[in-house]
Amino acid sequence: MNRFLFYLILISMMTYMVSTTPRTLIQGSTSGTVPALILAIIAGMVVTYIIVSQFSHFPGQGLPEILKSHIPKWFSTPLLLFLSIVWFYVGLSTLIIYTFIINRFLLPEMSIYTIVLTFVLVITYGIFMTTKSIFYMSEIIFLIVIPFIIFVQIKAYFSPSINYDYIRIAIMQVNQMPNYRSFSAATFIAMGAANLIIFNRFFTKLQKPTRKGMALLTLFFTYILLTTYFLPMGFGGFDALNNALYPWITTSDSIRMKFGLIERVVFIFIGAFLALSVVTITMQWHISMQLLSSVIYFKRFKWKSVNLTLPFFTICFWTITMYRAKTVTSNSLYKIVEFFDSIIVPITIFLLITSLWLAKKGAASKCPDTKK
Amino acid sequence: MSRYKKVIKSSLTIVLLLPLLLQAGCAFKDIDKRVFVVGVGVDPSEKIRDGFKVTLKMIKPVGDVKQAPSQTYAYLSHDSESVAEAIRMLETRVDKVLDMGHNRIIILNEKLLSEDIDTFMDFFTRRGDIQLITYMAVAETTAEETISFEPETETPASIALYNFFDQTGTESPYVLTTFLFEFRRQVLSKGINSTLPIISINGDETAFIINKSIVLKKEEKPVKLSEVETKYFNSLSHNAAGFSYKIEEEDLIMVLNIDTVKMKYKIVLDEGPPRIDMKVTKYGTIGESNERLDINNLKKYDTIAAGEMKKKVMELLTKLQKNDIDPFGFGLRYRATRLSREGLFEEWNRIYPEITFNVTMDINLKSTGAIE
Repeated sequence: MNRFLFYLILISMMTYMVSTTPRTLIQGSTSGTVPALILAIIAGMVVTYIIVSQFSHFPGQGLPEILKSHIPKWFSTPLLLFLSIVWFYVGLSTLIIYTFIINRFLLPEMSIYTIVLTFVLVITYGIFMTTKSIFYMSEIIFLIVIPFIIFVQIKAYFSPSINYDYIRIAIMQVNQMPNYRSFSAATFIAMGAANLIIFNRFFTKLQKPTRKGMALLTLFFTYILLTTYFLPMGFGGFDALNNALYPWITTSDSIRMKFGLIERVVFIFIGAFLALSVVTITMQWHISMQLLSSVIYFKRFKWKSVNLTLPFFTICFWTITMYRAKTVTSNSLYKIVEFFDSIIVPITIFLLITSLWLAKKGAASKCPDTKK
Repeated sequence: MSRYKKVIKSSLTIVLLLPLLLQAGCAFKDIDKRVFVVGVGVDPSEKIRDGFKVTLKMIKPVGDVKQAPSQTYAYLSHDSESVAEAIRMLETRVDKVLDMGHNRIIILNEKLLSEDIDTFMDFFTRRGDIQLITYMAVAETTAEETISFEPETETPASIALYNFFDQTGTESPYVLTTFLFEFRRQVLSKGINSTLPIISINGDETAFIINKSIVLKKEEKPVKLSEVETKYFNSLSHNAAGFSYKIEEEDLIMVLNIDTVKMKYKIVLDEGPPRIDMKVTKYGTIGESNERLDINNLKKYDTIAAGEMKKKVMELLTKLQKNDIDPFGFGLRYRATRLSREGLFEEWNRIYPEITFNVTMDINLKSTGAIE
């Protein structure tokens, strides 16, 4: 398996490890999160396997191209539109959550508009890069940031302040019925492979997932999922974490670097995850933009020789983001994300896999003819 | 296409550079506009019913530490109905921003501990800029007096109270360290009582004495632990280093320096009456003796010391049990080793007063020091 595929999947896993997932998981801590996690590991990996192997039939093509050549237009156009809105919204909620985190922990006095604007400007630059450059950027950021994250996590696991009894209490909740909300939130973070709908253009030689690659991915996913849920337990306590809005930020603030350059780990931590989140949002909006422009493209909308369709979409994105960032409350945001995880994401994945399957059938029915 | 990209890129660069014009409007305030809070004390108010008196210790920025004749602190206090309100009012008395982000200690009055702790602790855990690795302590007299006391060993640019707790200065098993996050998780958890160190000031007002601790009980009067009890508790539960122990046998007087303490325990319910099997292992050397020692007799000293120390540990455990407090978190361990079910914790509450302790003390003296 290509190493860029790993970045695609891992980066989205790690971004959500801090933002929304832990809170959803912790809220279900007494009502079946642990069995849900076990199911999520299986479900997440199965879906990843299916998506990657489906896309491997269409080397170098994104979903718009695949659909255009194999699927009738009345079906593909609304589907692409729907997918682009989904991807835009996922990116938007990530952006707003990270804006809230910055506003709460790093720059409490700064206006929310300034923070969103800074974010959006950087991301907009990213969106207009080619798919290939986004991959290279993701690789660079991933490699720079990963050592810090691993360092902080190792520090946490070996900290004298962590109390493994709380973690064991959490594990002992295994005898419950799995909780659907926790299950969907946990499965969602493994859905990085779905980004292939555009990024598959880059993989001209995407192979079917190998056994070694899948084993490695399962290992990473298990580690990330278990760390996401259990590490905050060890620091925050099983009964005390329920009302924490950002359990992972609280956790990283509880880790102390006695002889470190700075004692408070939280700044390193937020910085590292901020970098990852920028990559994720860039990827998601890049996908959304590409999907949108594959459906709606104003050929006449021009200024000199420059087509203004994409800049127009960008401005729409900015406006919606600004408006949402100011009006949404953190609680309603969590509610929306939960709704998204539990209903929209399964539908999206289902539609994606079905359409790919149909396209493959369509391709297969054409191929024999040409061969003969 | 290439021209199109060029235009996009250059226009984005301009947009990215534009915010530089807004630099003066950032949220950043320079160091001369800030005053750093380095300690917070909370007392019950004498003027307002159910109110609090909040005292802040602030450090004034000094140009050159070497030229400062002595420590330059300022103290402010205010009575109000809530902590947040008091700090808001204190802001009107300082010409600079109160920067709470560098605060590392919160001192509470003992009288507050028997009340509902959540009401005033809420402020500290809710604010994002207050470190969760802040130390918590209890004042023997009042928090105001303790926080505004400057011991003789306090040098400029260092705060004596931090050095006590942060394990980079003095390291003593008498000094118990409780972080804010630890305090929060213990207060809100079922199955453990939180412990705080007590800070007292010596008779002629020259130094702090920190060698006792206090165990909180939910909405009841807290229980104090004496010096020796604190030492044993701290070394067993936090593996605090630097434990020393005096043996007196006939004419022989010896002081053991124990550097490593390891404690493991298990709750045994299925064999006869409920009991806790506790195994303590200590490693150390002989630090002082009034006679010449034979290095071959180390085993003998081991058993003498073990017998005596076991008695002390038993005394501590039975005292805790008699007062119905559980700072070790036996209740947590009980919950952590059984599958979750309704009434598990109530079950433990019934078992705890009747449980018996079975302590095995294992002392390993490695040498007699540098001389025999």
